[in-house]
Amino acid sequence: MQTLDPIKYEMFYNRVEQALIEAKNTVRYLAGSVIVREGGEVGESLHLPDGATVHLSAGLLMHIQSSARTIMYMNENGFAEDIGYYEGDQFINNNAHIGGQHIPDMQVVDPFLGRVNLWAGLELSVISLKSVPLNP
Amino acid sequence: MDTGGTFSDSVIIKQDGTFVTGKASTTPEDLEGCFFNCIEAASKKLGKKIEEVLSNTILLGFGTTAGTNALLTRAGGPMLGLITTKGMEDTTIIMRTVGRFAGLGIVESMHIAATDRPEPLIPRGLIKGVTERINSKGEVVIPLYEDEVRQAVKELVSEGVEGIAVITLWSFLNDAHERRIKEIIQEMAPNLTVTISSVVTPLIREYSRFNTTIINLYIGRPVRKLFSKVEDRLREYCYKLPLLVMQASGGLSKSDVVQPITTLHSGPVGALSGVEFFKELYGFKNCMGSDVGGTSFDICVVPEEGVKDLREAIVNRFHLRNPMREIISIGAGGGTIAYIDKLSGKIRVGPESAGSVPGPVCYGLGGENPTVTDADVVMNRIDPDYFLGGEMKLDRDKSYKAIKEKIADPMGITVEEAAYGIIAIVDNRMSSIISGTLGERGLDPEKFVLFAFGGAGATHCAGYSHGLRFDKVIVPPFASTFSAFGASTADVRHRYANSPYIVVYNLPFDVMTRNFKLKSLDDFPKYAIERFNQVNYNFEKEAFKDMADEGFKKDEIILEYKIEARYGGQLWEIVSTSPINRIESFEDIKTLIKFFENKYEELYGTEAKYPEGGFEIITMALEVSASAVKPVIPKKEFMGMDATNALKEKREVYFSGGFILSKIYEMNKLEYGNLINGPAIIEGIDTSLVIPPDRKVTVDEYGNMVMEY
Repeated sequence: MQTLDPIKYEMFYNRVEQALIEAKNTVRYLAGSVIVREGGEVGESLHLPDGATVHLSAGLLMHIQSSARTIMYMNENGFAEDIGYYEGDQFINNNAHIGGQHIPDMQVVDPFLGRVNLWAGLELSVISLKSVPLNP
Repeated sequence: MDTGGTFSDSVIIKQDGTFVTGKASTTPEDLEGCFFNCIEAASKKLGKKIEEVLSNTILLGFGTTAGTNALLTRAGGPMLGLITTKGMEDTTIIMRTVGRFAGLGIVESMHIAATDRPEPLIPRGLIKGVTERINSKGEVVIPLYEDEVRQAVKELVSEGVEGIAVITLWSFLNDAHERRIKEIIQEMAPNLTVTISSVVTPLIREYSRFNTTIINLYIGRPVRKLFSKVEDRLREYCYKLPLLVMQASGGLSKSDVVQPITTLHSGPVGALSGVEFFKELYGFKNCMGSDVGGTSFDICVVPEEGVKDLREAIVNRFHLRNPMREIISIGAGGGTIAYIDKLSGKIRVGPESAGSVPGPVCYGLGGENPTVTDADVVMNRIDPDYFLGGEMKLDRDKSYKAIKEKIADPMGITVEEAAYGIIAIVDNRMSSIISGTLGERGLDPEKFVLFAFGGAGATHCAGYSHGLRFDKVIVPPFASTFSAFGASTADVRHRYANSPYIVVYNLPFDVMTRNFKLKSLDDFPKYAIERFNQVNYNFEKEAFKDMADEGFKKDEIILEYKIEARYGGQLWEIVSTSPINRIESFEDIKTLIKFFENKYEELYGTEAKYPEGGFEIITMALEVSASAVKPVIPKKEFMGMDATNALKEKREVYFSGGFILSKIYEMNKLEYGNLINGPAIIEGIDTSLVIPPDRKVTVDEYGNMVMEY
């Protein structure tokens, strides 16, 4: 087993953390949802192939494990064998019974395959995209 | 003047625009003392006595951490009570959902079960509810039950409170009840300090409005006491003009009118003003400021389109409603402590800081934990005999021992490797926050110039800018006093804000374009037009009065109107400048709505538009500013590339991989045109610019040091 360089590890850890925060904030700036852009209801995460979480961005922490649950659901229900996971895929879920805690939650998980296979997870709330009709 | 967490800095600008700087240790228990020590240090450089300088001063700006310190330490804070609308007593106790982890670091917020809520400044037992109710139109639904107010005041007084905050629902639309409660308190207990939310922050959103009002009262006494003590001594030195205070929203304001809450985090905003000053001086389009102090690393982005305001800043885990210019901070600076994480066994650097007392181990003031500055000393990047120009001797042996015992030996590496690791990790953290901040905004570092300042900015800028492809990195020779310099470049500024809560439903719209389609001015309710016009009229009245008090005429001031608007039913608004300040014609209302729709479409796309919800103007603001005396940086004469005149000595400095014999230059002796190739160090009295082997530095016409590959 290779010895871990403690300094390089810490620098790598910081880079991963910052990449997730950057990804989260990029979505904040791009999202077509006022609650995501202005309220920050979004989180980004990195997962192992089985869905276990490697690291999270700060943000919507109470919802972020929804991405892990989405990946686990896909693994348990034969997605890999059925349609397969390929670089560039994006799987979108807004079924609260699979991942998410309530209806406005949405997860986008995408695999990136290389020397190390990982999932990137995005969890966001789209509650205010069209708001609540006030005058139906 | 700027008092930071570790050092206080001053800049004295002479009549010709040239200036000198002064530095003194911040003494948190005596902020007035370090204020004058600092000015004295700068006066000495002019060869004058402090009274001679102050009696001839025509403007004095002050950025202070007094409020921040009072909030962070809670030492000696007053015992306060709160009177609010019955039913709202638990607002600050329950907080908002995000209240629990607001202001926590990423690691802490991931272990939310291990955290606790921030301790409320007013315990639940001292919060009293009284029957009253004003609705969202500003109408009195339930009158104020004055007997309940009297009972509440009686109980709070018997508990021994020293001040009372008064915050009722919708008081920003109708402040009658808050004002009446204040009158009753003043009748019953004339010595109590009373703050009402409709004066401090007449803005919507309860939790942050409650926090802002309470904190304003909490820090009010130490802040006002400091201003008063400083002003008294200034009078002794024959400075007769008002003391101007730096505000977090940018700009200076008279100390007797400034709300204490606006002084929170105003120091880094001073530096931001300095970056804006240089952006204009050089004619750069995009700049970024990076400030490495003793405790924190603060960055600000100054893009072509201007600096953003934070709508709800978080200070010490509390959401605040008063506007602050956007500064991004992490706990990383010269005093940041390095340690071995017990759980992972890895080296961690920060966010805890040793502050100024005890400070880094090398200060010899009792610090035992190795810090970033200790690592710099061990690597010979900082000369222990030339710290603050030799006024303060650093103990390299103590730094060496602390790093050896606390980091190197447990990790099984050499002391130099451990010191290099500490620097590499902290630089990497700073670099990550810079790249992330630009990346998430879609901004390219290649189009930006990075300014590096703060006491340790020059020492670390090569490290944290490494690999980021900035066009160039500029270090001013007065980098360590840059916040004070920036405060001296700020305009006199006031900001007025109010939430008129203009809510308009059932506006006609085009189903295809999803744009509102008003046929006449009558489509927009009369009350909404009147309220819009009245709010701006009130702002202008206050603004003209305040600016006249500051000594400015109407034609010398600049007005900027802002609105926060949204479609009906949405949670958050779009903040932007307002294209109009009055609705007087159909054309005006069309301009306002079109402006909002374009802004919304630009941000979210056509399909996200929701005209079915109606149109809401939640908050309006007016920013008024006037130019104050500015420093002038004279251009220097070109003296050639050869920097030999400034060469001081050569010494071994640790760069990646080992010690390298490096040239050491005297910052004060450098001249326009001088070129210095790394490895080298340029030593100033209060900062050291580290130039790695792959970088070079040129001195430009303003005396600033420009680092490039």
